[in-house]
Amino acid sequence: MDIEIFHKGIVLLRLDLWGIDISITNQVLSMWLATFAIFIVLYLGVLKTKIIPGAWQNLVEAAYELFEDNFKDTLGEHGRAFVPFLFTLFLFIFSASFLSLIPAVPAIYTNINVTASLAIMVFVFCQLIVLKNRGPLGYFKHLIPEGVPPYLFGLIIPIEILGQLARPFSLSIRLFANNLAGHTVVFVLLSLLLVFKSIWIVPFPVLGSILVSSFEVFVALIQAYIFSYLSATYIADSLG
Amino acid sequence: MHNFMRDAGRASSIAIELVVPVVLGAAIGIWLDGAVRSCPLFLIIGTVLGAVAGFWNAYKIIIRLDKG
Repeated sequence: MDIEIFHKGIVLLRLDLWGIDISITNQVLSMWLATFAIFIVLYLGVLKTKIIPGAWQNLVEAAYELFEDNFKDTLGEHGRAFVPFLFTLFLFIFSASFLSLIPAVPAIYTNINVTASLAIMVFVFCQLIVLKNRGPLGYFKHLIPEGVPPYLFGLIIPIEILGQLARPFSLSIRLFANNLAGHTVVFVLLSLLLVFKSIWIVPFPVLGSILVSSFEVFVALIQAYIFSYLSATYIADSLG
Repeated sequence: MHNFMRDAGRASSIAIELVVPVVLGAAIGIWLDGAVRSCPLFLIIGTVLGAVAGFWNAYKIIIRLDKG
């Protein structure tokens, strides 16, 4: 298998919009599959809501409440409105990572374009929150820490802007690297079957890849939590 | 457990948030030097500002981790 296909995906339908490549690849289908899976799970939970919830409604409500309880201290009172956004982010990252463990379902987070898109979306969202709450002048005042004398403003603002620009890199590279590492290890282990071409070697790469894939479920959960938690801290910083 | 994961998430940012501003500062410096033809003035300024920004980011994360 070509490593380039492993990362870029296989083009299923070539589409072009004013020179921008918007082709449908197997990774795009994987994203749609993850979105559809989340939609079905959540929709079934809220389809027929009752005072005494059924099993599915209970599951969805418990998951949301657990998530909200974990994040309410970080976000504060004004930030609770952003819990649905963060919950969606968490579910999308976890479900896409989890589904990628199924053979033939491509791993979308091994493509840095996907992780960078999510990170840039969070970054732009945070900047828009500051702009909406404080206005353009307040945006630059927000960058300046308390107690800084006015003659240092010209120096502090570029430093803070550079510091803020590190956040989308941090979010995207962490998610990308963790997913890529896990899938590369499984790929290398299974490639040993082709390298050695011996039936005696079969149990070791197969068992190894099963163990690593099992560990990848844990990694998927942790990375989804860390991504959404750090997004919550950035949103809380933006709210002031 | 979730406190451990939160701290792990914050701590895992330190390395990237320390290095990325330096690289970005240097990249912006190189671009400005190319535009104004003043090599290596803006490269040095950009790298220094980036390094300060990187250490400031790392400091903020460590203080948050310390507060818990």
